[in-house]
Amino acid sequence: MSESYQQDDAQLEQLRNGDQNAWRALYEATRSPFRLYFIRYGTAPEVATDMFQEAMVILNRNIRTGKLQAPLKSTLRTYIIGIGRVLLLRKGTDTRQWEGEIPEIPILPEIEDRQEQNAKAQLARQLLDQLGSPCRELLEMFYLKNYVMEAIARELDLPSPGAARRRKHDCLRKMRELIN
Amino acid sequence: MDEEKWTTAQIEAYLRNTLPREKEAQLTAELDENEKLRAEVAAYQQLVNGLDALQERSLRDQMAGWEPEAGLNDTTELIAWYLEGKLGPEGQAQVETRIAKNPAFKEEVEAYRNIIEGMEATQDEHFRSQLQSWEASLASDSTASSSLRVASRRPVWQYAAAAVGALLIAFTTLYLYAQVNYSGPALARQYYQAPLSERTMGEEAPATTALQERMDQAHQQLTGRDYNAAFMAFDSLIREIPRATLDSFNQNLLLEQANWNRLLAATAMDNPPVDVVSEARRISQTPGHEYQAQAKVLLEAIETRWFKWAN
Repeated sequence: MSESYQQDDAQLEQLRNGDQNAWRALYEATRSPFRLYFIRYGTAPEVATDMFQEAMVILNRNIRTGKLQAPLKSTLRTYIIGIGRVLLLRKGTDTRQWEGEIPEIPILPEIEDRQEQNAKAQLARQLLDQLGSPCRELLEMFYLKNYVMEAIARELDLPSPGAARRRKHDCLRKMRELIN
Repeated sequence: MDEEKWTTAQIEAYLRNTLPREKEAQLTAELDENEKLRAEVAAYQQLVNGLDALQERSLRDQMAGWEPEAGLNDTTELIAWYLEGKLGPEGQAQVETRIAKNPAFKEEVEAYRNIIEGMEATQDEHFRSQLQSWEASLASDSTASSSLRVASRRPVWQYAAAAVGALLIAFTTLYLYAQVNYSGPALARQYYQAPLSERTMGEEAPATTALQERMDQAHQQLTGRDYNAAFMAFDSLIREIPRATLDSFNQNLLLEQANWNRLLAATAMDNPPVDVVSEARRISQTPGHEYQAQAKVLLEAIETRWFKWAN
């Protein structure tokens, strides 16, 4: 494994832990090369920017669901550009002759249905708002900010990560009961 | 086994494909037979999907906040890629179409082309004078060794013309440098900072939202280079913010933002309605002002000869 991939593996770990500075740093470092790559092949600059944000969302989902894990087979930048190429392929643009290989990137179809995503997000937000503050705070830390259990225990003054994990499932059950 | 025997943790692990294989097979088999358990798992599926979607929306909101700053130099970057030949044939053609359709963009491309060509010419000129100095040094060595005086083959007027040409190129380059870095609009763009969003979903009073929307619009006018409109918009906000029902922290923050951005708009205007130097000095001397440090740097820039030359 090359040195650069090790760096990317370390960066991936920070992203997985929801480190906002790491997400922003990746956004800023990758945006320009991503745009150059696609503009070079005739994608309009505004479209390239939208595609970049979509690719970041897909990267986030693939990290969260464990589809992207260390050790990486490419740099994160190549991976994100690969997502962009898959998105273009899905829209009917043949990118197979372009420079560079496309890493195998799983992209769920539902990611592209923004309306459906918004409806799901709205329901979750309503349910979270109906929960009491301690549960809401804990679930937001885990699901929205990607905090690890150690950090949640520290933030909420719980005795151990195990206690935080138990509390999280209690809160998820409370949230589930609100559906009925 | 019924749905009560499966914990929330196990159901979530099943939905996220992290349940051990044996347990997964067991739960899958029970799902086929137990309607109540199916409903339970479906309810959790709805929750997990909703939380994931919410997380993605939060990321999108964050990216939207980063975008104004990250995209500040998009046009410059695109033009540089074009002029440096980094875009492939399709990319180059696309930029050329844009140049043909958009006069303002064409003007920008030409300005940057002049700068790059000016820089290259300066480099050539520098190299040429280096060659001449080596030539002169070789000639003097040769004269000393042979004691022969060799008349220059090149008439003096050719050197004079070359010197004038070099001066002209240097002058043009310096002027372009001043234009790009010290003209009012260049300074306004350079010192502009997109405000960090203070919004929190659904928790703001209507008065704050209305003010924030007008603030957003004024920012759009400023970044869209409609400096007169931006000045008027920020000026009007400066009068209205003290009357709005806001806590003192937010009132102060909005007021300082409006004052700073009104100053930037004025800096970019041909005939600003306020004294830009005095206003920059006032902000730079206001202790605790959000933009005090930036105002100090801006003040230094507008007091340079470069600024006077470029404007």
